[in-house]
Amino acid sequence: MIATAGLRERVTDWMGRLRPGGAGRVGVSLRVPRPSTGPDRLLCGAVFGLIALGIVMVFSAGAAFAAKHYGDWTFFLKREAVYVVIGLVAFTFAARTDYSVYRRITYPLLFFSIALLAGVLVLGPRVNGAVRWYRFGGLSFQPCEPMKFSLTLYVSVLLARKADQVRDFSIGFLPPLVITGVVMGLLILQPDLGTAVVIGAVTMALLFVAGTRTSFILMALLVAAPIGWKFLVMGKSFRQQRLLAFLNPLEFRQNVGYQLWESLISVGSGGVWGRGLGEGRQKLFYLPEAHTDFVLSIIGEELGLVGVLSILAAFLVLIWRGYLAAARARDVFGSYLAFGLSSLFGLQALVNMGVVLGSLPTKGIPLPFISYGGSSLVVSLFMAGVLANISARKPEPGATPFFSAFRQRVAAGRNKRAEPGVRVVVETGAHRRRSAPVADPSPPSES
Amino acid sequence: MIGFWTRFRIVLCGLAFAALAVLIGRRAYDLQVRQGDKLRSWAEDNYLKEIELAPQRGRIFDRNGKELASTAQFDSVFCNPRQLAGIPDAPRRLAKALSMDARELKKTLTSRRAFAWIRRKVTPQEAAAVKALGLPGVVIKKEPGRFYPFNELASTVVGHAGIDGKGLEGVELAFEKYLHGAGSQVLGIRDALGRDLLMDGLADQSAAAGKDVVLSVDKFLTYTTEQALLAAVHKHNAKGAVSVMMDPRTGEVLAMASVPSYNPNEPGDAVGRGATKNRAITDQFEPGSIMKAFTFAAAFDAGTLHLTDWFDCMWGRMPIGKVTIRDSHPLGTLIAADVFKHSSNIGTTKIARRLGREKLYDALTRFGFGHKTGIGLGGELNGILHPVAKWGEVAFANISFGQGLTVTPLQIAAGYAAIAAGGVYHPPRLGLRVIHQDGHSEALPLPPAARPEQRVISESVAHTMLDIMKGVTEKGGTATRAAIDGYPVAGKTGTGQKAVNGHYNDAYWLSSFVGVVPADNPRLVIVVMVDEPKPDHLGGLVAAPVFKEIAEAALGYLGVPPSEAMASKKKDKGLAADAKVAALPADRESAEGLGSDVALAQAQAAADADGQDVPIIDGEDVDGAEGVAATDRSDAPSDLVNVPSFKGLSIGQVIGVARRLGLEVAPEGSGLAVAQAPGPGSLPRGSICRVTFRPGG
Repeated sequence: MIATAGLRERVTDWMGRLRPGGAGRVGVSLRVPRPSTGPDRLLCGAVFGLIALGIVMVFSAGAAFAAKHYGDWTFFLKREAVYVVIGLVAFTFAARTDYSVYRRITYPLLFFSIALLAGVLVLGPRVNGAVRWYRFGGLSFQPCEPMKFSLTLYVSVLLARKADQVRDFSIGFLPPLVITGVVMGLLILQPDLGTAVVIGAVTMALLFVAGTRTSFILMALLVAAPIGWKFLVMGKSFRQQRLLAFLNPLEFRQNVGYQLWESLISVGSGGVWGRGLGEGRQKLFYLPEAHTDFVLSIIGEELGLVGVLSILAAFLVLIWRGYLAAARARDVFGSYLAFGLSSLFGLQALVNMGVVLGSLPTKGIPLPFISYGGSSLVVSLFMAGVLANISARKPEPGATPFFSAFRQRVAAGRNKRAEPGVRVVVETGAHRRRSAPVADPSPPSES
Repeated sequence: MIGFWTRFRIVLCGLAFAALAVLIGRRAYDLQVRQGDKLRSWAEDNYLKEIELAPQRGRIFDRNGKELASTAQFDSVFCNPRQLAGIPDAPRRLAKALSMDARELKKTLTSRRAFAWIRRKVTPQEAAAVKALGLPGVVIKKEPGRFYPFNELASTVVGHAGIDGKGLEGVELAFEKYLHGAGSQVLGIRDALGRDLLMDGLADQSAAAGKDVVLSVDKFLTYTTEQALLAAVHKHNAKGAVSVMMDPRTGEVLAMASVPSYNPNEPGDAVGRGATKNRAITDQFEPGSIMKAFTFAAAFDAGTLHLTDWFDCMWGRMPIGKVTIRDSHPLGTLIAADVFKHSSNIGTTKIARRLGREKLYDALTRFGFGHKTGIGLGGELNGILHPVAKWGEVAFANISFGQGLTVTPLQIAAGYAAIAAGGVYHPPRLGLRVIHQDGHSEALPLPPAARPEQRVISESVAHTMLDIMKGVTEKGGTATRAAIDGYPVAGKTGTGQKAVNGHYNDAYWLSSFVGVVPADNPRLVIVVMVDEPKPDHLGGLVAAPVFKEIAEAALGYLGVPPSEAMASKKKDKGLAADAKVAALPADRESAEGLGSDVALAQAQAAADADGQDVPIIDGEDVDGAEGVAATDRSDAPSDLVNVPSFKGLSIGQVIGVARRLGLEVAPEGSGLAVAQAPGPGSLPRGSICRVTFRPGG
């Protein structure tokens, strides 16, 4: 039957599984939308797996550095643990809060983020030639992290609202492009070229998926190319040198290509199985930033090709399940948001891995969920929570203002046994058992 | 709900990601598998190295357990040149802090390595200066280094170890296998800051530690000898000097000193200027008259010479072919002992001729000439003793009185020691014991190259030789200045002309003296050689007084009792104090310039000392150190002793007096005593008295 069907039918048949309620397994095609099954367990599993590996690897990669600079081997481990706890709270909150609430706070969030981003240029201290952080005592905060979420949210909201007008240049294309351009400009001023490129690429991907004319995108790229060229190549001489070092790391290993070269020999010396957890040598001050942007180098050295491919696989699972959530989301906004957030994770991960492995010029992009850094970790977990919420395919709880929705959530939390239908169980292994007694609203006092 | 094409585009994006992921995966495979070995070797260049666990090097002790070489912690400065690359003035600042050449340093700092020594073994001040610079990647590290507590003392024997704890010279090199210990290389890693990290846990340091070595040399005797040589070199404008002191009973070398020497803590260019040379084994020269003792001994032993034989010394001229053998003091017919006493070349030639070439050659070989003694130190020379077939008439004559062959000072010492030990050759030895890490000690075997212990002449011949050698230091002999009050000295002077460019030259001499003391019961054999003294060059004038200074100090230090024969001779003259005073004119004869006030002081001191110690000289049966001690204990129960002024006394006399009083002496300098601290008066027994000596005159 399948063999005789035309291409269109076969694609339709396969794509049908991506529909809301479509079956997750190949070979079964249930076109009937199914009731909520809770957040995607594979998606959450990939995220928690990455987080767990991240805690271990940040400790392994940063212990020697921490001991030297802070006099405490476990300095990063302790801080990372705090960030993970905060991040998990954010994840749980986001996973239990229906994503429709963000629609209401899109614009305040966007402008607040832009203000933060602009403010850091004035208020932030200069660290290693870049202004990227707010500093409060011993704590620091990176405004580009919330910006990633705000902009993705904004573009998704805009595209979902414009719907059919997306193909109109001035309505569907120009506004997101302008806002994105402004954000990218602010990032380039920091300068944080990597994040700017990732954010621009996510916007383009969203526009592409929403159906913008391909010619617009090509046009935008044509306009951006010379500007990018100017910044990347013709700009400051150190960027030029970085590019040269990227093209020939061996030759520049003593100076501008030092980090890249140390990263390459670090990954290379891991071989297939790695030296073993904790056995890495390059983290002993040969490789700078071993626990932040270049943590993958140490993973490559200690866990080998197996470790690198596992991380790659985890991110592919994240993208796959994220896109699946996008395809099955109950509304267009949810689809776009899920797609945007998944693309954001995927792009960051692939760019980071490309940089560490020497396939892309060196840019400061953290590896989501793994690199040490509070802002990135908390925001990433929050966004993963939003993704989990979208993947749960709950019916919209009705038009409630954000705060009343929040109050409702709090109330629901107090009486969760009484209203199990509202409840979203994050624990991936437990939800099936718990979601079974939906029809049994017995109050806890009677049990 | 999104439409078909939207879903289609999402799938397209997904495929794009998948494609990118494949590229990343391929890149990882390429790096980690295909180029893995290459990159790993690059990485290992960074940090992998054989970490030389500088093992705790064994110490070197003198025979009394004084540390001649030990190990201490030093500061060393190293850096990671990569981290310094960005600081252009780093080489200049570092060079200033360490007073090094900035240009040289810059070369080090621009190397591509992640680790480079800047300077090892810096002073604490330099280390502090470097620390104050606060340069990144510059690290100061403690590492064990060799330390020689007494600086120059015995340096030419002990030698020194290099910065990596490997012996380079002397005993440090020769006993390397004991001192350095077992294999201690550990495969380790080093971080980018240059700190050593061990991979397989801590190596067992104690197993790798070296063993301690106990030498036969005595710190005090070496010090005394070195000081005496230094003073002599200074006084006679000599080029150098060398001395060997042996115990003839065992062959143990008690002192072996060379001038110039060096400070092993700062070897610098010492090797280049030859200051590390242990001249007792690395210098060979024509010995001159000191060889006559062996010609005589050989002739006595072969029965071709008797004490009653007379020889015509031809008033100083004996033609052999075209050459004329001369004596410095022309004499007529002499009895054998006087031929020796006056060191007649002509008489010795005649004795040798009666003996025959082969027998002389055999005897010289038996005494050890022409071969290394095999003491076990590096650089020892054989000396040149041509085969007998090459001996012409003149060469034979020359060899009989010490020209035309070369010897080392140690060979001379060993040869005389054989005579002193009743005709038995004991191979000279330096290493006594090895002390293991657990504290048990083990006698060191003789080095394999050492000539075995053997009888070389009969005992009676040996005694005869000592008897006629005594004449040398008695009135009318060539070395009256070697005579020591209370102890008979058997010896021989030598004044060898040095051949310069193949011709003997009147301006270059080697003055030597070999003494055996006490002659009636030999405890010490001391060889003194002074190289190119000017203008005095006679062995009896230059070398003999040095011998006397050394021997006096040594006899006092070792507690060798004065000889009965000489003591009874003094007893005949009455009171011991009188004997001392009576001995003074003889002393004055030998040590010119001894002022009368000094003589008085000396007499006074001697009287003071003897006032406490009369039994030693008066006692009929005192013949050993034990006797002295017993006397001390019984006669002087008081814990306070009356310390006399040492002013004007020689080191040996001071030590003799102090020993009898139960004091310890810390001598400084050489010559005659000029000051002492604490001053004369009552002192508790066993306290230390610091005495300063200045060259006499």
